[in-house]
Amino acid sequence: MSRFKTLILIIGMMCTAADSMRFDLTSGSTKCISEDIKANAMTVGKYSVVNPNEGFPFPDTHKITARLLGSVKRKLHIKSVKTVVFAINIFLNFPGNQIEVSSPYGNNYHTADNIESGNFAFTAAEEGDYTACFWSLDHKPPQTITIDFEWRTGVAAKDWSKVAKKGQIEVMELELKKLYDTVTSIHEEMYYLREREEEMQELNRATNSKMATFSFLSLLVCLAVAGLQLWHLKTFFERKKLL
Amino acid sequence: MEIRRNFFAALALLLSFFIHGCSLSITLNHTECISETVHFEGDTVSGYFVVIDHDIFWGSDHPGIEFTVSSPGGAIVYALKGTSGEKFEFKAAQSGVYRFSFDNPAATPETVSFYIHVGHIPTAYELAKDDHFDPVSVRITELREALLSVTAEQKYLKARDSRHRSTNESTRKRVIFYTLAEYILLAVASSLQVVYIRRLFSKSVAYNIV
Repeated sequence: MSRFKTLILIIGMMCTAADSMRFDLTSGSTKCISEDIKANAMTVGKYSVVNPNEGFPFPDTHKITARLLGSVKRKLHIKSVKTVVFAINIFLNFPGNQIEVSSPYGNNYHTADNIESGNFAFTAAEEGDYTACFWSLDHKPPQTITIDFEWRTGVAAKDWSKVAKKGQIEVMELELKKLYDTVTSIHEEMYYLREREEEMQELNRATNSKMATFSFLSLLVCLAVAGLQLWHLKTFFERKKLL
Repeated sequence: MEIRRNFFAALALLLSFFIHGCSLSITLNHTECISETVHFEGDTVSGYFVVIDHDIFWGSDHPGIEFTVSSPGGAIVYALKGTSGEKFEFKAAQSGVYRFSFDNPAATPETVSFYIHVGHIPTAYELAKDDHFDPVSVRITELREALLSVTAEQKYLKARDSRHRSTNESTRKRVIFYTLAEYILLAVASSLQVVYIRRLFSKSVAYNIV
């Protein structure tokens, strides 16, 4: 019975316990953090401003604005172009919360204005760089705001409490399931790395052959130019009756 | 009373399982600092950072950035200078908030891709406090930490590969355009030579003697 209770406690804890990073944001400036997310990968993020006065109500000067933008990196082939679309909107501080979600190509995935904490979760439709930007208004005197930020993608973002609820799954079994998922994601990542290495090898080989061609061509150009010069001067001097 | 003990033991075990890292990239204008909390003393903090170079066409390579880790007490635990990417690992002597700072000495902003992971393996003592948990859980935690380190290594490799890729593309661009510029300059120099010689010979009779 107590084992069951322990299990319930563990499952209850699973969605909340996590570590996060913190960074400082001076008022009036922008900070952007980006992450490369694969196609069809789940991603979950949470951000909150650390209350500078513990126990007191949250000051208005410490509210931030957050945006999540997507930019798509096309598959880097030698002939194709890397497309990066990045939009920063600096705008005035309007009170109230507005949330909008749309698709990539530089559009917003998450918008939140003048808030102290928020979160976002979505499945990335395409592979690319997704950027989360935070900024705060200029205040006098300039404030330094500490933001607690957490962003998880792929295996770490999966909601394990749902999986555990499906049946009375043992803790160990759940952990082993997680490890199995981690191993699968490692394997997939290896495929991606292998592909990239192949592209790079192709690129290098092409550069190598280009360099050979151009060097040979430069010899020919040099000889041709020298020959032209000589021929032109010879005819010039023969016309001037000097030769 | 037992529920309370269970609660704390569960929390300890879970914190050990759920200390995540994050793999992100930021644009480094001058200095950027990230703070991470280390909950337990003796935890291993591992990670990497890689400077993703932009396509540098005319200029020389970036000198590298400076990386420092300061402990909660303010002492510098780890410091690297003039590096463009490193993997680091150290054992945290004290628990608290550790600060990871990147400093860019050059004027151009650089993109830094980094990953920090704080890993904790529960000792037998912590588990012995509550006899509901198997010693197998220590093994599973070790396995999880090992897998996470493999994942971290892979991410490092991916970031380095991306930087290598950008260097290669820059090489390709330089090969093509510098060579074309060389051809054009050669043609221009030789035609200037010819024009000059023609001018020397077109003026007065005194130049009849070659």
